[in-house]
Amino acid sequence: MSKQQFPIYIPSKGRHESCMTMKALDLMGMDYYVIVEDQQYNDYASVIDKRKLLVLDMDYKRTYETCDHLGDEKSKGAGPARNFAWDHAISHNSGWHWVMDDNIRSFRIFNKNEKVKCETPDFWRAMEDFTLRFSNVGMSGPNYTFFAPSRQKKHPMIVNTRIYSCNFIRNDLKFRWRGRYNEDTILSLDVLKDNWCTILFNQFLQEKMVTQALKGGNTAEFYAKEGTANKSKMIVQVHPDVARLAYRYGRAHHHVDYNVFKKNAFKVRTDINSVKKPVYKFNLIEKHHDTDASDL
Amino acid sequence: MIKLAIKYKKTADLVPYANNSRLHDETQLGQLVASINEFGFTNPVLLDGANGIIAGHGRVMAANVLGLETVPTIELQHLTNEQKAAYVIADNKLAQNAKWDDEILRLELQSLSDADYDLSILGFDEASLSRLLDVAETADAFEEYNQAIEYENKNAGPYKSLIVHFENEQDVDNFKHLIKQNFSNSAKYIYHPLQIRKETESKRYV
Repeated sequence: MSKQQFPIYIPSKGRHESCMTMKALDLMGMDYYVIVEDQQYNDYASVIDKRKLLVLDMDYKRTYETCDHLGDEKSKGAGPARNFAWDHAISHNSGWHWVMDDNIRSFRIFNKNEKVKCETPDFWRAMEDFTLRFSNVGMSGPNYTFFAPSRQKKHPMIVNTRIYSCNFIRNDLKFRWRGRYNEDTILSLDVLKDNWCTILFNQFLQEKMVTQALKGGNTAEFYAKEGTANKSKMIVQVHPDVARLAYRYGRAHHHVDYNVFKKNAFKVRTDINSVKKPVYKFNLIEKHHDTDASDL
Repeated sequence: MIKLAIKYKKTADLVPYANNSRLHDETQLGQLVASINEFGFTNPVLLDGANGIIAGHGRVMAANVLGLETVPTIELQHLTNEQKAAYVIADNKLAQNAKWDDEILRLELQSLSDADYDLSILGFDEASLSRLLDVAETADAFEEYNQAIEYENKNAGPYKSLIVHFENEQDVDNFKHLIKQNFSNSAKYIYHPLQIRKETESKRYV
């Protein structure tokens, strides 16, 4: 097996000192692009190979559909940079692309009741290959480590649900990222409502820092100032048919009913021979000297 | 009912409605051009009696791209100004509200595809076409997974769990002594016998 077939993009803002996802990908020997705003280019260029840096075209920020009426008063989150990534991938004739958050500490494989860090690029290739077995999957990605308890016998994946923080996206979907908050859920629902399928892998996991624990990104921009109430309200406003708002423990929460998408049936591609089991390089070893991203 | 007459008019003389809210991007314009090339200009442009376009802005743009000097038109001068403004919107929106019978559509597309007809001029993007034309049986995604990637997990949860209540701190201490474990005040659960959390930090998939 080889590296992933499709480009990886990491929008990043104010986190050049941590570069967490980038370090995790470096350990796996992956190529990737980091999308930064012009004013932070020099900060990032001091720690990342300039060939990996893309400067965000600010038109994406100006024209971004925030799904509210607050205009430029508040941060628009990562959505504009994610749309920039999408179009960049299309302009390079790629059929799919990966886009992921910049605060992912490690990528892990969940097998035999252990969640072990992965340093092989086949991590990505396996998800890509499996996704491409179907003609009607629009998006896939790894689940969060904390949603896959080691002691539980989990299915290797959850189908037709939300894909978050690390998304493998089919480029010819008619949708784009939108929403000032909760853009992962909004896009997932856009895709599912259009009868596409999604795959959230439990075997392949992302160890994500708690959203508001790392400085930079959306933390400083809005969560730290206003809590998460607007975030929950937005998803209900954009997709009222499947999302509802609930107040528990003095906080607003949103609940999305993904059961309605169980009817989205998977279709195997007829133009590939997918029966043969691919051979991925997943060798489990003991590593005594630990110097990886989790030591940061 | 007013009888409508089709009259060919110079494309250059037609004036777009200044407040037309319908957008025609390059992709859709290309689709219209391809459609007119294949089928001809079969859908007359609707005019307001003074060469102002009510419906057919995209088709006129396509006619300009193709260099068509004249296009078929129908005059709707009997409409009031409000009716004309409303029709500019309704002509687009009402068509948009119709739904497809996906099964019949798929059969029709398949039939055209079998006849080597160029489906790209129908106005569907590639993703939609590939989805509509896919005739494979619905797959069991989990069975597919079994064929693709090795994965093995078992239920490793407790055999039995029970809640133990303590009336005072002394009872807690006595219990710790009894089971030979020292758990913190914030502990929500323990295992008996004591289980050490599996250490995975020294392991790697490479």
